[in-house]
Parts: sequence; C-alpha cells; structure tokens
Amino acid sequence: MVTSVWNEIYVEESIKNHPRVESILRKVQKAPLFIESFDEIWGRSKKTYLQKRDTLNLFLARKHGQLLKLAPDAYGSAGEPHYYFIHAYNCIYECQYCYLQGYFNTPDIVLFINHEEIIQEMEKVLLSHSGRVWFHAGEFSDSLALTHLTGELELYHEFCQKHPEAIIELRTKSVNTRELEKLSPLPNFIISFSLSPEEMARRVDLKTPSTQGRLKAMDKLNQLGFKIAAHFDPIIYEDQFKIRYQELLDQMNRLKINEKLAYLSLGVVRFTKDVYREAERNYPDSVIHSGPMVKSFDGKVRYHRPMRMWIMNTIKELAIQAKVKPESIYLCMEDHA
Amino acid sequence: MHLITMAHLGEAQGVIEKFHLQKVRPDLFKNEEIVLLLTGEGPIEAVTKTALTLPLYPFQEVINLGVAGSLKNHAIGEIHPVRSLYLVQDLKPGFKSFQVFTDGLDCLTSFERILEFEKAEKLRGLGQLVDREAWGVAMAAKTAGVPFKAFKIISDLAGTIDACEIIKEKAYEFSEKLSDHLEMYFASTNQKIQATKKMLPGFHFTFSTEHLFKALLQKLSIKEQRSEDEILESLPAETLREQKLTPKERSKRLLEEMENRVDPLKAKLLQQKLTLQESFKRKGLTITTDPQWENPKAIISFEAGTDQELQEKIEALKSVSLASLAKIMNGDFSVE
Repeated sequence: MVTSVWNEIYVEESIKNHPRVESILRKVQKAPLFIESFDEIWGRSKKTYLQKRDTLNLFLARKHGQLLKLAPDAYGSAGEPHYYFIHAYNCIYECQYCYLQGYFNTPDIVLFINHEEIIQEMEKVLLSHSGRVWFHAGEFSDSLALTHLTGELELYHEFCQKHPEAIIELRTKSVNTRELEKLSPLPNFIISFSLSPEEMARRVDLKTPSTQGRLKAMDKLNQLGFKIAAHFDPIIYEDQFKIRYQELLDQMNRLKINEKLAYLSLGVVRFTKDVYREAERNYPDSVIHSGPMVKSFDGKVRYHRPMRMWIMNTIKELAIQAKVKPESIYLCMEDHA
Repeated sequence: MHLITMAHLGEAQGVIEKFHLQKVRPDLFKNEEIVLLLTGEGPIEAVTKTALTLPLYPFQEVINLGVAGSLKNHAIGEIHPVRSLYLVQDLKPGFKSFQVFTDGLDCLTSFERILEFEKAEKLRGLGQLVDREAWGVAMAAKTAGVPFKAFKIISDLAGTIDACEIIKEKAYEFSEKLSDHLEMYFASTNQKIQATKKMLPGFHFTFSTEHLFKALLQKLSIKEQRSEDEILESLPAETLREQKLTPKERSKRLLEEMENRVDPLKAKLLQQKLTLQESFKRKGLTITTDPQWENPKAIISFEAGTDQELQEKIEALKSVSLASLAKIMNGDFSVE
C-alpha cells in the first residue's frame, strides 16, 4: 500500500481533465475528492499551522484574480520593479519563523495549474516597464520543493529565454533540483537559496534539507552554470553568530560559490504582530523568541535597531572578507537599506 | 467549579457515579465541584443549553466529553483530546472554528448524523472525528470567556449505518472510560498548577516585574539551552541577598542582570546613552533618546528664562553633536 504525505487531495471539477492535474494525480497515487472551488473548503475556517504535521491536504486549483503582486520597497535589490508570481499557497516545510503561519487561515497547500495565464500576466507587466523587471517565486511557497510533481519550471524558463529583460528568481530551501537540471542555464533565471548556519537551521528550519544539503545543491547548480544567489534571511541572534556565519561563508567560499553569487541578501528575523503571536503559540520554546524584540519602524517585531545593524554589518564584513562582491550585498526590509 | 457537558444520560452515567453527582433536574447533576449538563443532541441544543447554564454557577472551565465517530479508522474505545473544532453544515465547514488543545484530533460538529460512506468521505479532509455537540458547547463557553476543553471517545466509524446501535450497546463501557479519563485530567492539571510555582525568597516582585521575570527566565532558558531551574541557579540571587538592599531593589538588580544576558548590547547602549546625556548636560541641554532604541531621532530640550539665556542655549546647541548617536543607531560598535 502506498502511503501518502497528503491527508486528502481536492481537485476543482473544472480542471480535473487538465493534463497537468492528471500528471500530478498519477504521481501522488491517491484518489482525489472533487469540489467546485478550492476556497469552499481551503481557509474557510481556521486550521492551525501545526495541523500540517498530520493532516496536510493538497488542493489543485485554478488561480483567479491577482496572479502577480507588486513587492514592497526594500524587498529585493534596489532601483528595479519587483513582483511575486503566485503559483502556489503554502509550503511543505515548517520553519518556525515563517510568516505563512499567520498569513493564511490554513497550512493546506494549493497548487495552481494555470501557469500559462500567470506568464501572460508577466508579459503584460513587462510591456508596462522600460527596463529590467524581477519576478520572484517562493513568496507563498517554496519554489522548488514540489517541482517534481508540478512540472511548470520549463514554462518559466521559456519565458526567460524569450524575455531577457525579465529576471526570474526561484527562492528555495529545497535540494530538489532534478527538474531544474533538465534545463539550460540562463543569466536571467536565478536560483536563490535561503541559508542559515547549520545548527541554527537544525533548530528552526523544521523538515527542510540541512544547510549542508542546500550548499551541495548550490554547488551542483553552480557547476552546471546556473546563476545562483543566497539569502541569509532570517538571521537569528545567538552569542556565537559571528563564528557560525564565518564557518558558513568559509564553506561557501571553499565551494567557490561566493564569487559567483548574483546577490546576497541579509535580513534579521522579523514578524508582523499577528505572526509573532502565532509563532509564540506554535513554538513557545524556540530560539526565535530569545532576543530583545521591539516594535520597529514599520510596526513589525524585530531586534532593536542598533542590534540589527550591528549583526548585519558584522555579517556583511565577513561576507566581503569571504570574497562576496560588496556591490552584490543588500540589506532586506530595512528602511535605510 | 467545572461544567461538564455530555449529550445523553447513557454516556454520562459513569461520571455521575464516579463523582457522586446529585440530580438537580433531569438534565443537570452536581456536587460541590462539578456540574454535569446533558445538552441533548445537535449543535443548536448544545449551544443553547450551555449558554443558559453558564450564568448559574462560577465556572472556571467547561469540559465537553462524549462519543465521536472516526473518519480515519481509529480504534473504537480510544480517547483523544480535541485539537480543533469545526462546524459542518451541508458537508462544508463554517467560518468559525475553535482551537482547544495543541495536540489531539480535529473534530467536526455536524448538524446531521453522518451515516453514509459518501458523506463521511467528503469530510475526511476536514477532520478526523465527527460529533454533534462539541462546537456548540465551545461557542457558548468561548463567548462567555470561560476556558474550554474537549475529550472524545471513538464510538464508531462515521459513515456506517449501524453506528447508532453500536453506541447504544457500548454506552456504559464508554461512559466508564470517559469518567476515568476525566478523573485523570483533574489530577494532572492540579499537579501542573503546583509545578509552575517557583519561589525566590528575599525578592519582591510586583505583578508586572513578576511577568518580566518569568519572560526573561524563559528567554534565557531558550537562549542558553538550559532548563529554567538551571538558569535560576546561575543567577546571582545569593550575592544579591547578602547585599543591603530592599527586596524590591534586589529584584530590580536581578532583572537587570537577566536583561543583560538576553541582550548583549544592553549594557553598552546604556553606557553610551549616559555618556551622550552627560555631554549635553554639561552644555545645559537635555537629550532624550528612544528607550526602545528604534527611532534614530532624539529630542533635545532646554530651559531658558531670558533672551540672554536663550542665546546661550542656541550657542550651546551649535557645539553639540549627534554623531555618536548615529553611530550607535547604525550598530557601529563591537561587542566581543
């Protein structure tokens, strides 16, 4: 008997014969339940974040309404427009600081299958700008973790081939690079990995591949010629943080990753008030609560400003010493970034 | 006082016997600590009867006990705490749900009995249990601000036509198991209450400083990956006790010590602030910085009674600098 990671699988009636849906269902090997629209069940009443541990449902649906979302200022490298494209809701991983625990009413995963429509929307956005435009995947879901099921990477890759002025960032903690490896590297198709020192990742990035695993995946993609980037985000304070980041950067340097990084973003752990409350409830003993948190300039809960700046300046300095190009480092979500 | 709600007399029999409850009226039984309410079947009945009973006594919690059908092949006779509660109408979840325990199973309170397999199948993704009352009891309790708990015994597999017969036959057995479970629950919560009382003789904490003390104790325990008892032992409580201090002053010093261990920059920031304040004070000016160290701007103030004094203060303003504050706010210092 095949055991499934999914508690139940729901499919919208209108897409049940879509080839992408059929392909996913073949791979998951579990009989689906058909419904009219995913939101008649998904998120209708509060399902707590930790219920994903034992009753995670999968929904296959068509995304209506907003397919792209303008990213806030200071989200990515400055001076260019940044958008997220919404191809999924929620994530199979369980990071203790994840904002998704307070963002949606449920941790159940929705995979949207109308990628062609998302790409059409991206093309429209491109026409409305004269220069480069960034499109990020991974804001509401890890962008690689389920690609062996979903099979959409090829479409976004084609889009990048056709539009050199568009840059796609696939943001991930996954080592699931199998589908990616079937594609050719492109300068505007960037795979960015969120990294933390090994021990910290073990404590807070639950159910994710280890930092070592992520570095291996980065190394492999780097060697294949893919454009790679890194996010040290969120940085969580521990007394030994300088040594830990030094070790991480040294490892990256030994793999010759640092000099190739398209960018390295630095961001200190932060929460909206609601997410902070959820994280306290879900992970009362987590190291994320051990620092001096205050309500900051934008209402988010973070370490106080001198501490954030001290941490980020320290790590920035270490990164430069470890051969990361200074101009490729930016501070994420700071008012003075 | 505890309010126990159950649907029918059959499943409540064990609780009535174990806790020696006396009949007050056909649906209400009590002793000095416990009131048992029979709500009848269905969420409307449960919410109405619970809401009408809550004002009768000073209840500290409401506990719903009862049978539930399993949507996931759980073993009959198992008892589970309820994690989340949803209301289901026409096989679709309603908007309002309740969180009960952090662990346990998710229970759907249904307006109808789920006797057909097809219906049970549609509900499988929403929860693991289905009952007829718990959501209604929770709604009344939460609205009244009374803590709510629920435990369910698996009585049958939902979606089977003979479920009602099984429940009737096993009613007494289930009721005994539920009453044993309730007794264990009361015993465990009493122990927990005693275990959380931590004493620190010679110190005086107000309501807010006690809250801060507990929060810092927890933060340090997480940060240093040691138990709270180990953190308590590592605090300089004995040294502070030997000093000639009032218990309140002693507590203040202890809290400062703990804050410095949580925030590696706290002592340094305080020192820098005092230096800055002193440099302004020498010029007859006062500088106030954000106590949270978030707003990089400072308030500079002074007193003047004459034009000459005012001119002197304006001149003094020209001679002070905010460069050291900007440096601090940009994290420009090192802590080894």
